[in-house]
Amino acid sequence: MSNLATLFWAELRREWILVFRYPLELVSRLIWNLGFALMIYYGFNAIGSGGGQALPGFQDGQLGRLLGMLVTYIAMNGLNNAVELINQETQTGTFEQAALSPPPLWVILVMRDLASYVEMILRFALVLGIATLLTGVRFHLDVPALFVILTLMYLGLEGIGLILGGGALLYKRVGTLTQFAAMLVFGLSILPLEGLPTWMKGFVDVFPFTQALVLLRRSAVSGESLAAMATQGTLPALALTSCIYLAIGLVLFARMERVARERGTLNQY
Amino acid sequence: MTHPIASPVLVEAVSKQYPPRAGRDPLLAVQGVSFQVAPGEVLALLGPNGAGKTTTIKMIAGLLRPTAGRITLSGVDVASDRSRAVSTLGAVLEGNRNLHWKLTVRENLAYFGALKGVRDVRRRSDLLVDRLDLGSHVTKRVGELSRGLQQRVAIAIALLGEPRVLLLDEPTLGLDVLAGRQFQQSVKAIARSGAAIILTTHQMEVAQSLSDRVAIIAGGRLATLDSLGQLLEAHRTPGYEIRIRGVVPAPLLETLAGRGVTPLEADESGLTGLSVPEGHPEWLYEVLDGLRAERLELVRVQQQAVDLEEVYRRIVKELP
Repeated sequence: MSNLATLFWAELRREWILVFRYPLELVSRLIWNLGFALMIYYGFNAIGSGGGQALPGFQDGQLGRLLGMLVTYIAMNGLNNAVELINQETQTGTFEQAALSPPPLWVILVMRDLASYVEMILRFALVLGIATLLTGVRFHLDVPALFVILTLMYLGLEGIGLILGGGALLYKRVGTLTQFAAMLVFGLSILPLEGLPTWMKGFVDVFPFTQALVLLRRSAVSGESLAAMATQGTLPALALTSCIYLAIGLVLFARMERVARERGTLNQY
Repeated sequence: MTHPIASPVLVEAVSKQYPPRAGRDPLLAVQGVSFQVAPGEVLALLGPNGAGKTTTIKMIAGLLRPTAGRITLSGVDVASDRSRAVSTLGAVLEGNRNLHWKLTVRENLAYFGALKGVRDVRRRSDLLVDRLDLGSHVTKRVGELSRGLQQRVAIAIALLGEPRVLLLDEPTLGLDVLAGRQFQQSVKAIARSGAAIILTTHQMEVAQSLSDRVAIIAGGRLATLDSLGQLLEAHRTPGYEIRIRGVVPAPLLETLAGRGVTPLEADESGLTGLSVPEGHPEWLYEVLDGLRAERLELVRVQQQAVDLEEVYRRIVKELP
């Protein structure tokens, strides 16, 4: 356990150093994130005021749009992180050094993703703060609830990210697959879930992203507490779904890592 | 299972076959290779490109799983208990590419120290910074350093966990003469501290300077495994080497051939030469007289020596 904490701290420190070592990159990211948030917000406002109806995925109005943006972006990162890390580090050569370290690769990847998640959450808190100031949107913000729901969702999506990462270890080019997963997440954030075909509804009901989106809206719009969500079973359902996704991701990644060590594809790019 | 007195590196009948991919046939990269390395010993693993050196090194490092055979590090099986086995291992496999170039030397040491589970990383880093003379560079980003310094940082990282085994794959590639020499001194010091070192290189002078034993691998098989001294002795041709400027005329060569004299290939300075067998000192004078008669400039006469490069060339040439 202490080893995991040391590893997590080392990854967080590395992330932190890199974020602040390149201030222009940091500012660009913030501007990009803010621009994305405002584009979604004003874009869908324009659709609404143009005589059309607000898209059902954003039926909670302005707040829904901002939250949708936040969750979508974090979810996309959760899906992409492992693949990006593997692709980037196999090219720089540092992946091999990680792969010959004592901890299994999945441990290192999960710690890296969690460190990246912490940085992302802090960046988004800042972006959300600026966005609410600029748009005038005011809402109830239950920070612990937001954190718990987002973290559970991220862990679940990390499972899918690990499967895609395992694919990158074996097949290298999995860009189309990760783009598809990201588009799926983006699509689910704007589509009316109620109008989906039954087979698809069955899928979104057990998808951490959509479960988290529903809980976040309840928390932010209705002020529903974590305790209430726990009692109703919605929060445990998200936790269980995420755990299952993560467990499947870990098992499959470990299997694919083993195959990559057999095939010799671990450090190829 | 850990043996009471386990060899730091034990490679037993190891083979590696890469599975077929994208229309290519399966590739048998390593076939039944066996060797071990003792504490404080430097083993040079030599061979032509594609011979199986890097595959062997990567199997020892646990980056590749052997198809057959067994590799143990300090008695721990790499295939079945990789984490524990590699905890005794340090490796410089891609030199400066194994480092985070955007981080400073100190930050790299701290990061990889955590990854390797090193206790008291700061103290260990200070020690290595001092030992590898990196003191004035610790706050510089690795990307700003020269290749020689980056290589030293890579070694410092490999040594963080006080490894009993150090793997060095082409460690002097791209280093200038001074950096290469400094690197060799560092490796000798590490070996003196008791680490077993496996080195792969195409630079024979580096292998000759550093290694205690030499393994030559070709076509995935171990062609030779012997101590450096014995290899050099076994391939020594007793006699004299005469170096001259100019070309020895064919009639003179024909005359001298009866004395067992053979022409030598031009050396790196373009000097041609003759090899005169030992045991008949008068033959040497006859050769010198013949050269004087032809007014060929004599540059040097010395006892014939063989270096590792020559031995390597002979062994590889003889292979099927």
